[in-house]
Amino acid sequence: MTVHCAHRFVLDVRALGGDVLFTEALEPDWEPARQGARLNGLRTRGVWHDGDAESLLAPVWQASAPPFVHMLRVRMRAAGHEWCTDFKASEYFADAASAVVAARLASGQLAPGDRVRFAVAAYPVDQARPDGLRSRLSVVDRPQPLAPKKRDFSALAGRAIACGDTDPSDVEVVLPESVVEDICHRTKTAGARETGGILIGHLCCDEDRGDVGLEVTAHIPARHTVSEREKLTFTSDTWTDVRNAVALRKAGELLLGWWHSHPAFSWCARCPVDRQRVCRLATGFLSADDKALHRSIFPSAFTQALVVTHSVGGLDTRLFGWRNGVLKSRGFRLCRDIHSEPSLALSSVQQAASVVEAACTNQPREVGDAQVTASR
Amino acid sequence: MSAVAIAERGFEVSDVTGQKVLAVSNVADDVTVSELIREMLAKMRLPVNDAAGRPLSYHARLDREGRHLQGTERVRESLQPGDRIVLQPNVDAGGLVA
Repeated sequence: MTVHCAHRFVLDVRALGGDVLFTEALEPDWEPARQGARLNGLRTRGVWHDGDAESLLAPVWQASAPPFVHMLRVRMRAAGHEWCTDFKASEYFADAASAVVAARLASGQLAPGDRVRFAVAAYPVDQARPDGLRSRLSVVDRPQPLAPKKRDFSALAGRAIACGDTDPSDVEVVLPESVVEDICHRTKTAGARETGGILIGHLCCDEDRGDVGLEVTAHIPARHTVSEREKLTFTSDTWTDVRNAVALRKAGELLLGWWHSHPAFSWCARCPVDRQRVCRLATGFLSADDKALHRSIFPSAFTQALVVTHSVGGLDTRLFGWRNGVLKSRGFRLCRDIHSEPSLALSSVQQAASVVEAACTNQPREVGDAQVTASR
Repeated sequence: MSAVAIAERGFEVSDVTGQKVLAVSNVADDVTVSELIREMLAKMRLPVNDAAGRPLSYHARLDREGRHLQGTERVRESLQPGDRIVLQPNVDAGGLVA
């Protein structure tokens, strides 16, 4: 079940001038890479790699500067197929680098506003893992079949609106307007407290397009949560309730992801309204806790996180999903199934055309490939 | 009788989504639920800490009895052959730090 990797990885942090500030050993989480490679096998070869099959991870060096790593390459073999999936190292390790920089900032080794650059080096090691309970119990992986439903996404797309930051490498996601509408209403009703739920539906296969996609069929409002202004705790009873609801529907739906609200109007209530409108909190984002929750519950590369931000400007609905092993804002299709206009759902999404316009009118900005600014 | 059967025939452990499932057998007499959870988290590659480094609290839910197993319970005494337990965390969303 594990990704075999015969290297250790070290974060190298430097001033922009090139002086080494510090190095730190990393304990990378390879699960997003493994899951990304599995999905790649399903999308390109129709093969769902199970736990017993072989998977190897190795660094691809920067041509001019080994041992620094340019890419991570996961090689998988299953059902007579073999394939490789590459992940850009600067993206994959960005969150880990930010966490290390934040810790150094907290300890006073960096000052707020310091800009640093990072690289990741890899060195061969012999793997020797502790046995744990191995001698006291036997564990065998029981791979779960994944049988995508046949679905014509082209037809669905014809009556759906493209929304958000589209990227051609993303799996297509179709969200019914009625589902988003209910989520928007629940967000408004919750007021200054966060609320949330679970997205359920099907992984589908579009044979004409030769790809898979997600069809969200419903959401299950999360119950037995602890809801606060800046926090929403999903408890064990929440998950029991969700599993029971899915079982009662008897539709073979998968847990495709989750949603939650950000009551930004409440977070920003002390700021002037003009400032609230341009605040970064007024647009959808995933916090460190949100990302950790997604990693805990939804590691599969096809899973999604929907965020509805309630700010002075109204509601803003954004979708996030795994791309190259990292959670990114992404596009989706809003399937029109509400005939009254305008719906809350429709007014909360950023349609793809307006995303393009916004990109064109924005000043181009230079962003370093692997740079981090020290901030709390 | 039950303890012998659980050692031989075993039981299943699943994550919340049901997409990661492990079959467990040959459990030693003294393995507790908390030890089992710790081992299963590693096998399933589930995180043990939250974003701030605090330990995540996972519960082992036994649907057959509609309850959470206590960490101190012995696996061979509490489970029956063919049981399925689900590892369910208490986990936070939110926070303003991106």
